[in-house]
Amino acid sequence: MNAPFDASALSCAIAELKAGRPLAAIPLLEEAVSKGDEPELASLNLGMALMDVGRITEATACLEALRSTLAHVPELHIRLGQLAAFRKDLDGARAGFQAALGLRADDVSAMAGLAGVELIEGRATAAAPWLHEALLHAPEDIGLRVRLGEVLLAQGQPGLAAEEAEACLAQDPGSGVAGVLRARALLAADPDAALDQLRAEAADEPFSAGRAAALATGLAACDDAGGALSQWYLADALNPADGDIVAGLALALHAARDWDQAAEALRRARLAKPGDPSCAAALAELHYRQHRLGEADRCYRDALSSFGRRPTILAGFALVLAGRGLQEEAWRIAEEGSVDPGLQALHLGGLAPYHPVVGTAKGLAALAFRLRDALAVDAAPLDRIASDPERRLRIGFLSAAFGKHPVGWLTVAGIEALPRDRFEVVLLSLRDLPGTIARRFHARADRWVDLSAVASDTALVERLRAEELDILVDLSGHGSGGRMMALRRRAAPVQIKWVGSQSGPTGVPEMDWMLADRWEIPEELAPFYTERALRLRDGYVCYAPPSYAPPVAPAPALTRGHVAFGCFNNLAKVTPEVLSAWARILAAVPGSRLAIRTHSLGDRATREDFALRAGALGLPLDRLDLLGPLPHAELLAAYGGIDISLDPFPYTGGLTVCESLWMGVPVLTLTGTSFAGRHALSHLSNVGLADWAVPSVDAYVTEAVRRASDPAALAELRAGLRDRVAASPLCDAPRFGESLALALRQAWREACARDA
Amino acid sequence: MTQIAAARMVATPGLGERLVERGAMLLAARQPADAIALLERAAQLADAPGNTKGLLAEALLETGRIEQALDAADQAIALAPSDAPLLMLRSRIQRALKNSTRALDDAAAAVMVAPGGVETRRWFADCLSEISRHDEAIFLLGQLLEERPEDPQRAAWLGLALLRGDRYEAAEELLGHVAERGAETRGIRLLRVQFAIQHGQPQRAVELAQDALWNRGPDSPLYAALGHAQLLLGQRGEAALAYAEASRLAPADGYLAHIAAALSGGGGGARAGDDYVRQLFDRYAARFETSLLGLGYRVPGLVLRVLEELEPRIAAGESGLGDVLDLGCGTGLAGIMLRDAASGQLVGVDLSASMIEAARSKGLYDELHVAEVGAYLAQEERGYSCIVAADVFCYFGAIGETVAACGRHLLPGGRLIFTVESGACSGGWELAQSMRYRHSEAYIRQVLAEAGLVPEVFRQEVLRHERGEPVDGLLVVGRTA
Repeated sequence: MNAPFDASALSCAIAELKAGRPLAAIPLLEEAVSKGDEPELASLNLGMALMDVGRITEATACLEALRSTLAHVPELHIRLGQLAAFRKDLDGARAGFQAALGLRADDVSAMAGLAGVELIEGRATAAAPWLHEALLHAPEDIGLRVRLGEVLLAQGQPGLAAEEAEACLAQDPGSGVAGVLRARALLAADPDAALDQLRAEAADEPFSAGRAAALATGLAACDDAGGALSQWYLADALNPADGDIVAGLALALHAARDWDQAAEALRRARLAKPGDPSCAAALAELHYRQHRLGEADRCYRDALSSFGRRPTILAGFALVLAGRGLQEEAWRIAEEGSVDPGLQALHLGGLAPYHPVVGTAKGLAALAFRLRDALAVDAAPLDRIASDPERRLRIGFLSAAFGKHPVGWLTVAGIEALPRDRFEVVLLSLRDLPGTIARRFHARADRWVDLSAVASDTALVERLRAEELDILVDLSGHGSGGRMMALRRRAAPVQIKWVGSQSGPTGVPEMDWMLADRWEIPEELAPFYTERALRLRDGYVCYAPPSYAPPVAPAPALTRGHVAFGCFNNLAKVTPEVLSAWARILAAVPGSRLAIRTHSLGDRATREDFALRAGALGLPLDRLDLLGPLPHAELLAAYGGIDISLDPFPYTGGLTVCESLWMGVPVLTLTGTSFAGRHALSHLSNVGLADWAVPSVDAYVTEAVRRASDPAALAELRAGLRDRVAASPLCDAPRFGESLALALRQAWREACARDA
Repeated sequence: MTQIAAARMVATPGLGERLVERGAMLLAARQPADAIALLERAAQLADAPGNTKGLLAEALLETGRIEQALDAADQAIALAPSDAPLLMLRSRIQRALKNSTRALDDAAAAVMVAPGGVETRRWFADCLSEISRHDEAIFLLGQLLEERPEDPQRAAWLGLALLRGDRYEAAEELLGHVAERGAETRGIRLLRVQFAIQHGQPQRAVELAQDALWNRGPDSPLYAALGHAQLLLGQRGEAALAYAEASRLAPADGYLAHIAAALSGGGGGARAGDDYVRQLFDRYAARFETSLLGLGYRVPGLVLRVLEELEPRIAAGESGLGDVLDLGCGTGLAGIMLRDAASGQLVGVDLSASMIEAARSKGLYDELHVAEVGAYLAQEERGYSCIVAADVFCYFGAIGETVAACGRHLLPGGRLIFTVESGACSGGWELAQSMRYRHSEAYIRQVLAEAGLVPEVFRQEVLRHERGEPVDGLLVVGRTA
């Protein structure tokens, strides 16, 4: 019974491969290998099939093992060469292709591979002869002709490259890669006329997927991301088998942050274009964006082994590690990922505020000054100058978060309260959000400018300059969706950083001010900023509590008989140091519990990994509640089960502190020296609870234990806390509006004096 | 497209199905513009799937290309005449084209095909409401609610139909329950506010509007309704703020800008914006005459009486006035008086299409034009024996240019007859808090002189009553010298 079946596993697999179904062939080949049925042949085919479905790491292991036994098979060397090229191991790639040529002098794939290596190394002239020779053997091979076109383009002959692409499209109108080349060549030849020509060609051949891909490429290059996406949809519907088209669609969806559609397209792209590192990195990043940190981690590790330690993959991987609270590990990866000193300072600057050692004012300053020194000074300065110190000012706020987002909750009431007679408000939106808060922003805007489709920094600054702003306030920073780096080309006579990844100095040369308060940047910390501190009278933000927040619940300690600690912050802030401090607190408060609630804990892999780490650091797992996300109103209601919020450090809570206080739950914070390390201090000081901010980890533990020992005092504080917050400057929008107005006026007057 | 490429693609098996399947997915994902590119191509294929045109029609409707949507829907229905979703779709397209009756026909056909369908019946009821067949709509929606009384969505449908059918109390009770169950939309709330105003409950309207503004965020129509309700409560200061907000949120809306300016005492522009006048009367057309007559509106009568005084032949019941131009003719109230007097053409001009429709239905005028008065005069080449502007200049501040233009269109011996609301305003005219302009006597005399017209009649009159108070005005006849 077994024998005939075993004998057929390999032949069945070969049949599947011939039919273009590598996924179906893989289990059959594995079976053949394990049963010893022509194991070398089975392994070779298994390696190739794994490669064709994007399982690059496994394919490499499988094929490398055959080096000695199948040294006589050209196909093996070609595949090993291709895998080496994926990893950017160009010597390995060249060796593989040359070995194949040694065995089969007319091997077209090997010639194409060698041309590819030369092209990557910037030697287009050396690449061309390989392609010409290959084309002698395979004149109909579109892949070869496209690569020849790429060589011509690299040699500065876009006209010839465009002709090559045209010939390919005539032969196969469905070819995505030929379409992309056509667009790139026309754009290089005449950027102004290219788009019209691509449109005309697409209209002339409405069923050509290649033409649609060409138009998509052209539109994307001209900053029309929406139009480009539309053409990618069309191209993919016309020719769904084309790997370059699926990859184009997937990456366009990813860029548009349409995560659900992007996930589906990226999975297809990984199969259809397994050697594309961009798609592998995008799929990994997508898991990260959707808070599946465990899966993101696995994908990044796989991408690193498949495609080498490329900067974009390392940068993404560092974010995942940081998102899990593994700041030390993230730091090392980010350091490796960026060789350029400016970029490295930028990437590390994103991690530094979370880092247990570097996350100080001094540590952040070192990176910010490094970034500033690395950034070139702008060649085309702004031609507007500041004048007329007392006139009505035109203030631009730049953000991707005008809506239900921490930036929204902490700025909307303040911007609304900015006196209309003295300030014209221009909201410069990088992303349109729905909802009530977004409506409030729209309503306050004297002018609303949609910049969501503006891709390049140059175009963005041109648009910003066209608004003729007096003061530009950045609300997005270096974070996701932010365009901070663009502002090194000055867009307004005064540039100010405010909420939105406001964790420390920006390091961007033309940023003049950091909007702050006396707690965030006291005089002695001011030297650690690349900007000057523009201090508001009270706190640096104004919290807008949601109308749907439920009433404050009675203190749970009184009814349950034990104290409940809680932390609803992002896991990136929960470093091993924080977990160790919490372990000491739980050990010292018998019966107490700790609830940690955040988005990524909704993902099982992330939760299990976190529990392991927390347990290893001494936290009793039976007293931990690891909880996932909730709709906002329910999240607020969940504070009903918390007596004391434990703030993380060195990156403290911002909106989380405001929400906790609004829900009647006091927050214990460890005050740091960085901007991010002092958010909580600012908010607590503004509501008269500065005595809940402590200076050291020991004091943090002691104070938590002391506060927990007096449930009656906790209950009393809780009962009056919302009224206290509501009456405090933290929620006093009119007072804040005046304070913001004074600060903006001060900045303007100084600029007038500067420019006079 | 080259023939070779076309031949290739037609031969590609499954292309039509794939284009349509993906087009449908994009449509479901609310990306109609992306869907159209696919569906239009599918429609070109000889073997296009049967549902191609219907999906294309839907996508075109979603992107506002309504005429093309109708065309595609017609073609789809020609292939499948008893397809309820297609009939529904065409009904929605007809509604978008303002063909209420055709929309109803298609909706009725859809219900015939799918008598148990919830959405078909709801839409049919909506179409009935649209043409004021409220009782039938209410009956249908009542049935729907009975089938599933716990469904707040169905209660909301019935509530809206009750509102539109003028059963205010019942509607408000039902919609109050809907709101408690969290199923009230912003649109429903706005209607509740507006109907509370109409039904004499401005305080209730204020509460509903403020609650929604707090909980759902700012919104121009809600602010406008709030302002309206506050005006009725005599809260002018608050109303001014509300209208100012409404206007700021909808800066292109001249109607709101005009009211906001009037209430804030800003004096207003040199005349009311065309937007304001057009919207005011478009909204008003259906109730215009009953409303005005209820206010003791006297202007058409005054015009006729002064004509009788000046032209004995008219008093004798003969015609003989020659060609007459009725500026701002509205629903044709003055036309009733002028028809017999005009021996030649009677031409009416008004900015509001709804008003012109109402005037047309009277069958009095030889010509009717939807146009702004100044723009009409600028392109009119004919001369008239008589130009009437009854209650028109109250929407103008500065009237010099318009009066001069009238003067140029009067034949020798011709007359311009007009009314203004009068008041002692320092600059010659001012925007009153009634949202209308008032003019001083001295200013009117100056304007007539500049236009080369001799004041033949200059008479104080009560033009109408507003909240029991007389509105004073001037009846003026200027004659070419």
